Formats: sequence, structure tokens, C-alpha cells
Amino acid sequence: MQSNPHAKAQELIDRAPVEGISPQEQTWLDTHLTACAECSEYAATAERTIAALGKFAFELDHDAAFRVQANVRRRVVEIRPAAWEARNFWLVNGAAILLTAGGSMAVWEAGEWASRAWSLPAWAWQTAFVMGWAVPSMMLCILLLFRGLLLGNQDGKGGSVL
Amino acid sequence: MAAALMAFADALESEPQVIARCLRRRDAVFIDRLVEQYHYRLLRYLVYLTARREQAEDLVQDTWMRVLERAAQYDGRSRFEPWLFSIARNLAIDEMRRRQRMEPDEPAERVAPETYSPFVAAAKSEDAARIAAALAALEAFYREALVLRFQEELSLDEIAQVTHSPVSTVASRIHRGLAQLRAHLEGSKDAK
Repeated sequence: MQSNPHAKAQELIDRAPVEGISPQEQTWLDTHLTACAECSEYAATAERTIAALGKFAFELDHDAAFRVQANVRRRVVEIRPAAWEARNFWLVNGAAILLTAGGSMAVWEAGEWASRAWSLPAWAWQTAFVMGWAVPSMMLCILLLFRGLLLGNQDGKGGSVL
Repeated sequence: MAAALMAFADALESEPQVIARCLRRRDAVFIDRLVEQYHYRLLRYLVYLTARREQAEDLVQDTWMRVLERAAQYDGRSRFEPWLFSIARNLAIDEMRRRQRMEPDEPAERVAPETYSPFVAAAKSEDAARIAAALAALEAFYREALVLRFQEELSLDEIAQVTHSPVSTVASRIHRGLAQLRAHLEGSKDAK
């Protein structure tokens, strides 16, 4: 606690715009300032100093501002397709996995039903399932995954998924 | 209809959340507006920090490029300004270190601040010239603390976040900066 009221007032004047002061401290300060010319002058100087910062302004170079805006806009356009492509990649893959799982289950069930209906041996319909469903699907996957390599892509990016 | 729905969604979100969402989606129109809206403030902060107008102009662009790269890191839970200024500050410090490595023998005060200072160059009146000279004479971290507190109106916590300093250090810098500025403006000799 400050014993000197002027020192206390000046400490509060300094603290008010930075850390802030309590309503009680503000009330005490206001009362003190009405009676103390020296501290009032100190408060006015502090206020002028802060106000001075607000008066100072740079002239904006509109050409430079426009250039920055144009370059940022160009960059947004450049990076945006990559983000969209990645999103589409995961969407298509998710859908493909769901369809493959669902389709495989359906074909398996159908094979089982057909083998019962026509009294076929299990190995017959299971072989038909592997040759007619699983192998073509795997071949298609391999072809899509390594299309660059298999189709003679010259950029050395064979096997690229995207 | 879609526009109305978007406007309704925007109204439900706070401003930082809208900024975070649009940055993540790389919303070109919104980012364009954001760059325009913050251009002057970012430039002013960087001029206060570096005391070099041209360098500050370059850093403004670098800052936005970095904002685009790190868009996912801004979650919209706090205000955008501290995050933006923090990125700008890191880039400015990297740039200053790089310059120092390239020109290790160059005296720091080779260029007289009164002649080439961007503050003096910007001064349009006698009053502004006096303020400019006082600002040019201040150390960079005092100027930085003053611009963030009194022009950007950031809280002490936010300034601490930008400068990676304790709140007590931030408060002390503002007090010292104000005292030095006051001393310059009032023509006092005992600033320190």
C-alpha cells in the first residue's frame, strides 16, 4: 500500500491503461485528481502519450496491397484443388470399400443359395465365386493402383494411387 | 436459399469460428476479404517490429502464405489477431536473424533512424514528426508492445501469446515503452 497519495495516484494512472484498475481504485483516483493539479497534469500527459500513438498513421501503398491480395488469391486457387482431390479420393475409396464388402456378401449368399437349389458341390460355387468375382476385382484394383507403371507412364510415378 | 442458409450458419458462429472454417475450406472470396481487412494492421505491426517499411511489405505477403499453409492449426477458439500476429512475428524474427547472418559486420545503427525511419517518412505533420522521432528511438520490443496494446487493443494475455513472453514481461515492456515515449514527447531527459 502506498503511503504517499501522489505516488499512489501516479502508480494507478500508469497501471490503468495497461493492467486496468478496480472501480474502487478508479473512484479514489478520480477524487484525488480533482484536488491535485500535479497528478492531474501527470494523468493528462499519460493520456496524451497514448493518444499520440493513435494519431500516427502510415500511408498505404495500394499497389503493394493489391499485389499481396492477388498473390494470396493465386495461392488459394493453387492449393484448393489438392485439398478437393484428397477429399474426393477418400470419398471414392470409402464408397468402393462399402460396395465391395456389400457386393461380395450378396454374391456369396447367392452362390450358396444356387448351390443348394441345384445341388452343386461347395467347391464348384466357391471356385466360381473366386474366378468370377474375387479375381476380376483384384485385377481391376491392381490395374487402377499401378496404372502408371502398367500403362507405361513416362513420368516415373508408376504405382501412384492418385 | 443456400445463401440464406449460409448466412444463418454464419450468424450462429462467432467471428473466429467463421474465420477458422473459411480458412480450412480455403474459401477464396472470404480469404480475399480477410487479406484486405487486415492488410493495414498487419503492415503497421510489422513496421513497428522491424522499423523497415520494405521488409514489412514483404513480410505481409509471407505471413498470408504461412496462414494458408497452417490454416488447419487455427481452431477459432480464440481471436484471430493474436494468431495472425504471432505468425507475422515468427517470420519477422527469422528474417532478421537471416539478415544478421548475411551481414554480420554491419553495425546495427548504420542507418540513422531520423533520416530513414519509416515512422519519420510517414509523418505528415509537425506533431506526427515528433511522435515518429520518439517511436524511432524506442527499442523494437517496446514499440511492439505499444502497438499491440494501444492500436490493436490486444489484452496482456494475447500479447503474451503473440510474443511468447510472460504476462509480467509484457506489462513491464508496455510501462517502460510508455515512459520512454512520454519522456521523448515531453522532452524529458530521464526516460530510463
